[in-house]
This record gives sequence, structure tokens and C-alpha cells, in this order.
Amino acid sequence: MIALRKPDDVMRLDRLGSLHGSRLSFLRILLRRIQVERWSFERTAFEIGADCTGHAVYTAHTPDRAYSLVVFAHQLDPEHRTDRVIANAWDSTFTLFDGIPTDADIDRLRCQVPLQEAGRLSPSELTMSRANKSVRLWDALVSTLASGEQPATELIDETGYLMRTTAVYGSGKFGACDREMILDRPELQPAFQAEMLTVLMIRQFARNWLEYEAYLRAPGQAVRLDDTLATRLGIGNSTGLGMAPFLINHPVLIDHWMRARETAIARVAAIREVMDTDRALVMRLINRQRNEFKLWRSSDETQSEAIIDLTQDLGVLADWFGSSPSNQALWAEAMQFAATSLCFEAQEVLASVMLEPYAELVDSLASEMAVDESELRPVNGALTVAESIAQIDRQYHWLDDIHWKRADATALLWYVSEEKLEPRLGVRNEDAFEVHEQPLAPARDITAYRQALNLWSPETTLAEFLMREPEHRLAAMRVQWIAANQYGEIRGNTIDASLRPIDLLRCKLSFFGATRFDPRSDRWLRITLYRHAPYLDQVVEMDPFWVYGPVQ
Amino acid sequence: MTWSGNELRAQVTKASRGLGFDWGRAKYLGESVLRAERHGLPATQTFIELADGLDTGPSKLGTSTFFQGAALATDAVDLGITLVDHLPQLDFVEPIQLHVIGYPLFLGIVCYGLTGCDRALYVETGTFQCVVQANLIVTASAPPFEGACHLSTCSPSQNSDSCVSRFELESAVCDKLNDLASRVYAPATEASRLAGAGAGLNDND
Repeated sequence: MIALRKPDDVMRLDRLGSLHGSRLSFLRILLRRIQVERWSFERTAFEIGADCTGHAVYTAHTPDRAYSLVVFAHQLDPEHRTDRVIANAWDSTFTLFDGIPTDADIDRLRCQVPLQEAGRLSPSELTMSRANKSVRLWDALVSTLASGEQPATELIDETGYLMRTTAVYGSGKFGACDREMILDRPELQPAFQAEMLTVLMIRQFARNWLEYEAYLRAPGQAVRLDDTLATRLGIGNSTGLGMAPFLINHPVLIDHWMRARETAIARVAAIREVMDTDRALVMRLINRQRNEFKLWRSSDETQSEAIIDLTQDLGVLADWFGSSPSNQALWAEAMQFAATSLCFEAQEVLASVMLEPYAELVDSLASEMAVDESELRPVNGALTVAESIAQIDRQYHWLDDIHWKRADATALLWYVSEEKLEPRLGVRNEDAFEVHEQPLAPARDITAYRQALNLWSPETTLAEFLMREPEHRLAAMRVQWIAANQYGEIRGNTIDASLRPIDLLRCKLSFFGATRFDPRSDRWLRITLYRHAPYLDQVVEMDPFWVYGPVQ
Repeated sequence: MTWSGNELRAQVTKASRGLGFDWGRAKYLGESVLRAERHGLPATQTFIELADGLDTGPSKLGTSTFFQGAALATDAVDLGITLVDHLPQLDFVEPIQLHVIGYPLFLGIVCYGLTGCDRALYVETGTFQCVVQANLIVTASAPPFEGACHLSTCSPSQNSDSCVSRFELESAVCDKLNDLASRVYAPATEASRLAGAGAGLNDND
């Protein structure tokens, strides 16, 4: 096998901010399982009244269990509609129930789920979520369908979703079931599967709710949304700083995600003689991807320029393939060409697309993307100061490039506001929140740890060192974890004035399988999940390459 | 109120930080309290009882505490964390005697400290006996709050007791924990609300 790309190259913030989904994206892992195991879905309740409020239940039947999305539909005063965590009301609220809820369960959930963070869940609930309608699209589509017409494709593509989730909480949040309690279920072992199932079923509800509202407006005249058009609608998501700490706080898990993808890339790049059919498939998918990217809009100047560069570079890549008749080591050659000639976005598109023909090399890696974090060891106090310094110098040589005396190097600080516990970024020395700073600056903290170690005799054990300098314990533990998990550390300074937190968000969202990244500032962005995906009754028959958009 | 394990761990971690511990020890305490509570030991209550008297500065112990078995009366946090840091160097061929204040929490810390290894420790104080190993604390009775204990090595238990998955905390304990945890949050200000998350207050599309 060809060597994996180096963590120092892969884990740069600017590359993380250029990642794209792949066969290993969590929503694709889920859909493959649904297809292989032939899950069935049913809508067991749709108690939505003439005022478009009420509840609905959608149940997924797996071979061994059932999971039900319980939906509460609300009327929301437009002035209260906001995507921020600090919102207190939403168009709709959801929970994923473990099994099939009874009427008593629905009554209990009706009192809790609409409250979201202020409510309490039970071990029977796996996730909690909420979503708002797209103001741009919802009313326009209701009117069009109510008049018996179908909307223009361009109108659908402009937004790409009917509703936007603004949070999907899992793993023990607000009293819900802990992930540890369900780890023995194969369908929930890969990361974020309960969350992905929740969003998949929310998408179905959004379509049903839209069509129902159109029907209520003109019962004799309204039509249902055309299937082909409906498939172009995903579920939007607004994501802010709350997602960024996850990447820093779970380094071993992130290593496993990145390592799985890099392993897949290396396995495919190692293919000596590429089959014509596989080459042709990748060419077709790149073309479909280019067409899809032409519809990718962003109001963010940097992202807009990146999209232009990306589409141009994919053209360059297509030309390169056209002038490279040999199939020998084709993917390795293509990656080499991309690394020297194309932008990061195009490099990462190639890396993802070239995995597509090789399910047998790639898909099994999904099982290696989960980590039982309760098994992570605390500090090994037997290591000496000399050994610890050597470990840092091996793993963190990139820290030498950061000049900490520059004010910009420590300009930012992460904190959590007491206002709905929203994670935020402040300006050091201006916001006066230093005392509340979160431990989200590993580059700075490991530099300080290294400097502190320097003052101790080399044979001193870490156990002795930490007795006297306990403030370095978190850094010491991190350095030891990273030793075997090199893809777990971001090669960058997460408190530098130049930080674009959306690079962190983009990395995680790409593993979810998000598309149409649309930064709204350097701190939050909108994305789309499941655009072009099959609806619940179509998954078993789905095109495995649905994510690339329709065949032209 | 009934809490999930994730909530308990997160809130103890924040409360520990709120008390003044560094984030590293705060993480240890979150993990340790959860492990103890999963095995039925009232570590949250113990943590709250100890909270006001805990010293969040450097350790008051010396390495000789463990190698010479000096039976100083020491709070569970300092003693427990220092002990687990030294665990790789301790063979326990000769039992070590320690005087523990806050036994349930101490056992949780030792349990966390054994994560990732196959060692087991036998802990005895008076009539109380237990076996502690990674993710498992086997005991037939409730531990005392304080006492002199002997630690020695033993064979890992094959016991696979079912763990507690939900945690019923007394309201006074919840209140104290929440109060300590709230110290890590920055106060809500209009400037923070507007600028801290990079978004306006109306982000509709």
C-alpha cells in the first residue's frame, strides 16, 4: 500500500476547511446499511390540524429494532425565527424515540421536546432536534403547489432545502440515552448514526408537511411535489461555533475518522492497473460533481472564490485525465498531479471521488471510525521529562513556526456564555473573559508544557512533575494520546487572530456528508444534508452515487 | 432529578473547574465520579461534601507517600490523582497504607487510573473490601467516608455487574453542582451576544 498522506499535510486548518464527503460519510454509511438490511419505514401518525400544528410519527423498522421520529409541528411568530442557539421557539421540534412510542410517550414528549434545551428527555430518547422553515422557499412552494403547478427547478436549487435544523443533540444530552448504552447495536456503532437517521426522517416530514399545507390551502387543486424536484431538496443545517470544540476535545476520535479516509485513499492510490470501467465511472462522477458545483452558491467571498477555483481546477483535472492514456497507477498519478497543480478543494474532491468504484476497499473502514472514549488512558506518570520532551519534539515540531510573542498569536479566546451555554469566541484583553477561557488552544498549551518541562531534570517522572505543576496535566495527556493518533491534532493555532473557525466546522460536516457549504461569517455556516438522496420509500433502490446529483 | 452519564461527567468536570482545579484534573474528576456512580458509589455526594475544603493547588504529597506507605490523612482528589500518576511504578508487593478522606471518590479515581491496563487492586479498610480495575469496582458493602486503607495487587475480577445508567441526585447536590459549574460560564452581555458567535440575531433565509 502507498503511504498515507502525512498528518502534517492533512491536518492543516486550510485543508480541513476544504474537505468533501466520501463513501465514508456518516449519512452514506447509514443509507448503505438501510439498503443492505432492507429497512422499512412507515408513517404511523400525522395528526396535523388545519392550523398546521400537531404531531407526527415516522418509524424505521430495522431487522431487529424500531426507531421512531416523533415530530411536533408548531406555529412560529416570524420575529422569533432565528437559527441561533439562543432561540426559544422553532417551526418544528423532534426526538428520535427508541422503539415505537405509546400515546403516553407522545404525551410526555409533547411537554418536553418543544422546550428543547429547557426540556428533559428519558433513556428512551436517542436524539433531540429542531428545524425552521426556509423563508425563501417554503411559502413560494406552498403557493405554487396549491395552485396546481410545480415549482421551477431553479427555485429549488437556489435554496436546496425546505427546512433547516439548528441543532441535533445526541448522547445523553438533556437526559437522553448515553451513547455507551447503545454501543452494542451494530446500526448505531459508526459515529452519529442516530443523528443521521433523525435528519433523514426530518427530510421526509418536511416534504409531507409542505404538501399538506398546500392541500389545506386548496384542497381540490393542490398537487404533490414532483418526485424528481423533491429529490433536489435536502435538509439545511445552520452550524455555529458549538461544533468547533468537538474537533479539539475528541482528538482520538478525529484521528480515527481522518485515518480511515486516508487509509481508503492510500488503498485506492495503490491500485497498479485501474480498470477502464472504474476510470470511466470516476470521470462521470467528476462531471456530475462539476455540474452540482455550478449550483453551489455562497455569500462568503473566500468560499465564492474557492468555488470558482475548484470548478476551474476540476476542468484542469479532466484535461489531465484526457491526456493520460495509461491506467497504470492512475490514482496515485492523479493525486500526485493534484497535489502539485490543483487547489486544496480540488485535491480533496479527487481524493473522495476516486474511492467510489472501490466499495470493497473502502466501506469496511467505516467500522474503524468509532472509538470507545471510556477506554482512553489517563497520563502515564512513569514517563520521564526527557521522554516527554522527545515525544513533543517528534509530534509537535510544527509549533516552532508559531511566534507566540506576536499579539495576534493569542488574540482570541474560547468561552461558553451562560446564555444557553452557547460557545463563543472573544478577543483577549477586550472581552474580559479570560477567567472563563475553555481549554481549546492545544498549540499554546503544549508549548507552555514543553517550556515547563525544560526546567526539570531529564530523569524526573511526569508523576513528580505533575504533583508540582498540575496545570499541565491536560497537555500531558493530550501529547500521550496523540502519540498513537497523529491525525487527531490540528496543525494550527486555534486562538490566532487569523483563525477561521468555519474550517473546523467544515471538517466535521464533511464527515457527516454535508454539501453546499455556505459560510455566513467566519464563525457559522449553512450546509445541506441529503440533497439528491432518496426519500424513505426509495432507499432500498437508490443509486449508490446519488450524492453527485442527477445524471445529465 | 435524573441525569444521564454524559450529563453527570460533564457537570462534575465543569464544577471541578469552577472550584479552581486545572482542566486536566477537572477531567479526571468527571471521569472518576462517573465510574464510581456507575458502580453504585456515592461519589457525587462525596465530591460535594469535600468541595469547600479541597486544595486546588499543587499536591501537598511527596512521592515517598506511596513508596514508604506514609499514612497521611489526605483528601481523595490529591491522594487519588497522585496515586494513579504513580501506578505504573508501584508493584504493591508490599501493601501500601493510606488514609483516605472521601472514599467513594477515591475509588472512582483509582478505577479511572487503571483505564487501559489489566491490573486490579484490592482495597481494604476495616470491614470494607473491594476490587478496583478498569471500568469495574466490585464491592459488597458501602465504603466509609474516611479511613485508613491497605492497597495490594490482586487478580482481576471476572465479575460483570450491570452498571447504573441513570443517576438520581438529591436536589441539594444538583444545586451545588450546578452552582459550581456555572462559574465556568461567561456572563451574558449584549456585546457577547452580538459578536461572540459571529451571527446576527435574525439569520433567516
